[in-house]
Amino acid sequence: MTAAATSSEFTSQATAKAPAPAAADAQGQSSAFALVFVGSFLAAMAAFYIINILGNATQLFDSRINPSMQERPWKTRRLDEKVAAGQAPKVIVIGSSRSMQIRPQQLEYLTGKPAFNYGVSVSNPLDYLTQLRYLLKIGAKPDMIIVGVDEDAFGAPRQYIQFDTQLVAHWGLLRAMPSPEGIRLAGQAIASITPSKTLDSLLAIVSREKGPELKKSTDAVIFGDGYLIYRVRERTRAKLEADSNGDEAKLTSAIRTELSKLIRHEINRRGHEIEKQMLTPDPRQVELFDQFLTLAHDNSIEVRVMLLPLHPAYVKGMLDADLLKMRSDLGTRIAGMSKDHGCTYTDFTNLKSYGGDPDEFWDAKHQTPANLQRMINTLFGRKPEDPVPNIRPDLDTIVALERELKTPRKKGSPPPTVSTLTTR
Amino acid sequence: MFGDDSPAESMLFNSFVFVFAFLPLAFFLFWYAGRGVTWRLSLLTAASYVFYSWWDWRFTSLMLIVSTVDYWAAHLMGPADPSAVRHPLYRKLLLVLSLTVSLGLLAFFKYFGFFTQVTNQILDFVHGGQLPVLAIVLPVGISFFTFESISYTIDVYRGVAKPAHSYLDYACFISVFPRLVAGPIIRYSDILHQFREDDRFNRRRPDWNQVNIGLVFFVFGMAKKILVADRIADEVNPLWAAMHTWVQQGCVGTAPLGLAQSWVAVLGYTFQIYFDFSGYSDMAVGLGHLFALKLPQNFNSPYKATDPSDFWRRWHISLSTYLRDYLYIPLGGNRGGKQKRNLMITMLLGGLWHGAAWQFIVWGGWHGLLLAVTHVLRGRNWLLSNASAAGRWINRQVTFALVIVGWVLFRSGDVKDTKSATEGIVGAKHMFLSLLGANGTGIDEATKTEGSLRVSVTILVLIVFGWLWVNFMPNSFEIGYRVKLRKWHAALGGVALAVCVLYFGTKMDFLYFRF
Repeated sequence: MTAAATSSEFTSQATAKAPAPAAADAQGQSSAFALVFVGSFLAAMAAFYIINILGNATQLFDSRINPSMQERPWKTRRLDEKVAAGQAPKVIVIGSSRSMQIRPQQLEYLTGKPAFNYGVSVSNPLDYLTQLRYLLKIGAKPDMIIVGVDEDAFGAPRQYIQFDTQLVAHWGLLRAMPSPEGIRLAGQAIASITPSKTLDSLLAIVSREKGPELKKSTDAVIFGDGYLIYRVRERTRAKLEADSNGDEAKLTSAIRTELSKLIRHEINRRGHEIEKQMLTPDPRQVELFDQFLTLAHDNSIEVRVMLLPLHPAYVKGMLDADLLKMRSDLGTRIAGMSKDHGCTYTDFTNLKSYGGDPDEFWDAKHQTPANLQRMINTLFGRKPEDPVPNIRPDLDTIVALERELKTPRKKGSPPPTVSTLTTR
Repeated sequence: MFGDDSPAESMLFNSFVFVFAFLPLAFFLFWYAGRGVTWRLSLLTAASYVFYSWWDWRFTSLMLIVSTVDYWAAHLMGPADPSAVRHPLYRKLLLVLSLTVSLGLLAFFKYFGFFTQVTNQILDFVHGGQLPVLAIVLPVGISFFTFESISYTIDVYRGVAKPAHSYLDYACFISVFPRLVAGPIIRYSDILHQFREDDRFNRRRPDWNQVNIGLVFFVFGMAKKILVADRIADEVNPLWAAMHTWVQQGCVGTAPLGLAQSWVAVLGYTFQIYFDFSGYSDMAVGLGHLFALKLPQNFNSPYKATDPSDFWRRWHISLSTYLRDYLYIPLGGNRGGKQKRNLMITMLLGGLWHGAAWQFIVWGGWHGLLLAVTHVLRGRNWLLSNASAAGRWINRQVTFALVIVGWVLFRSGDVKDTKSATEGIVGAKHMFLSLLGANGTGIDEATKTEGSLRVSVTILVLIVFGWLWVNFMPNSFEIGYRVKLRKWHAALGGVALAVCVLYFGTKMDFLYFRF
């Protein structure tokens, strides 16, 4: 190559070359700089992680100073308290938010045994297995587990990994998790640390602990027995009732209009492709479910598996023939696995099977307590409409709670045992 | 293991697996598990292949193909010595073979889709058939290592460089991980003496001078990328996305960005791309030092340039010198009265190198035009002199403004979506109109907008910081090689790196990974 055709537009890197070696030698032939660098890096990292674990602004660590208010660790701590008080529940409900309004009170009435709703949002076989392992570990072996299985609980893409990561926020749950999920989720929790969370954690360490509070937008309120009440949705229904002035037809129409909007929104949000992916069983989830059933069987725990329904309008609008077949195949598979492990399996996807009312849904997937009560009655061989005595209406419970939270507490008295969520 | 470091993503410098596992292990093995040139080259090559295969192990075959073909082509070519026995035609054929493989890989993986789309548009116009459009994955770093392979065989052919000492030498040169995926583009002649001709690879233990400098460059680059570029991206990406979506939907209704938002989006991107790319280059230089390599400077305060040709002496220096040596000069350079043509061709192809989309070609053409006009103005002595501080300042700001115009063209499309190539041009047009306040919403609407289109105090601070930094601060080479390093620098650097690590969970790709 000749250098003849150079141009002022492109010249060689003549500017700002590195200085002569003498300047570089001036740094000194010492590893001390590098050691200080690495040492301060590791010290800073340790400090940041300690601050985050203690202050727990991410809500993903098991902190005594700022305990996580996420469902999984919160409910597990309630269980810990019951076990410590010698009141370990003997009947456990597990499953997703679609099971979180199954009343422990009803189960206690039906079985005569203390019950606890251990359902958590977006629950999947990893949760089932981890929760059972933990119960056994703390000596709280239940006599019966009722599992409310969603049709998408075995889905392949873990789109809701932020829910799974909640398992890290209780040390016992973390240790009860199978590998490699436990390691992966622990890494996920660590990766969730950011500078702003670090600052928030530092503030949480130095600030005073607040009791539960109900913001205007707070919808989900979970009580000490694990039962969930949808505060905003209850109030919305109450308002629809009040506006109908006793006109049942008007009320029904209003409820259906509201439901229709929510179902349409869910169909648009979800989409056919996502639904298909979530109906495709992930081999690992199937394996975890098998491990769960095996563990229960080996410990002589009666397991009643239920496949939960969707609102008929959602089924019609979302599940085409292919997806309906996929759901049916999944049900057959779960039924087979349940039978193999000596568990009962009930397919509740048809509302008629338990006298379910399509108006007793909050949205496309979540049934109201009324429908769930019918379902549980049917599960236990009773008539759907059989009443459960001494059930306080949920709205009354919420009103009482709100009043209690507004009333100044006497010094030393504990706050009500509720967890409030503003995410839904 | 941590966060999103799944094998489906490339191993980024700003990732847990790189900082906590790969780098310490590679450093330890390089310096302490063996010694001698062969061990060091082998380790570096193996580590680089692991680094690349973290993204997709199948595409390491491309590096293997390029390494093997070029090594043997150059080896068989032999030196360009009149006394050598090899026939000139034989050497030329070997060169052609090597170039065909390298350019062929680049053309297929990077440009096949674009050319297919253009052909289909032409066929559509003449009512012909349609070619099938293949969805081809763009291998990370292919633009860089194929260019390096091309430079090697051309240099051997020309007699500028000797053939590689061994296959291992050449494989290491092609794959060495600090500059593998986003440059700087290095020449074999630059690296050869570092492998063989001085004692750096033969040292028993690390040269701590170099390690210290490497750490400084690495953390400096990391801070530029994470603490500045990514924070700017957080704020301006939604603005660009809003404009892109509006264009894709047919420009219905008022443009989504008002005057203030448009300027924030454009200025933000101007600083984002600088801090992102120069930050990566600094990290690459730093990592090179950790492994006894001195990589060339890639950025020399480009926004201090006083005219467009000065800009290209400061921005992506390794690419501009490459284009000069392998394109501009072979075309004739400034000889024969064809300088403007040669500049335009060089810059158009330089733009195309950045991406298979029309907006990059237009961006390259814009810079070609600027260079040609600069040449004409310089020839007539019409350029404002840099002799005075005021003159330099004015020239600098005018050049800055001209560069910003180019960035609007550059950014307006989505590099991942070749279908939006023309949408990128349309988007640029509307962005220009928004910058002039001529596209619907004014400043009042912009400041009232809620959510992701709102102009925040954070981005305003970042833009002011960016402007002050690029205009008044020394660059990383001026700092890294001249400051006498103290232990408190080390402590500060360690803490700064720890702060950067806290952002790893929300990491963003390096912009130049897409090229």
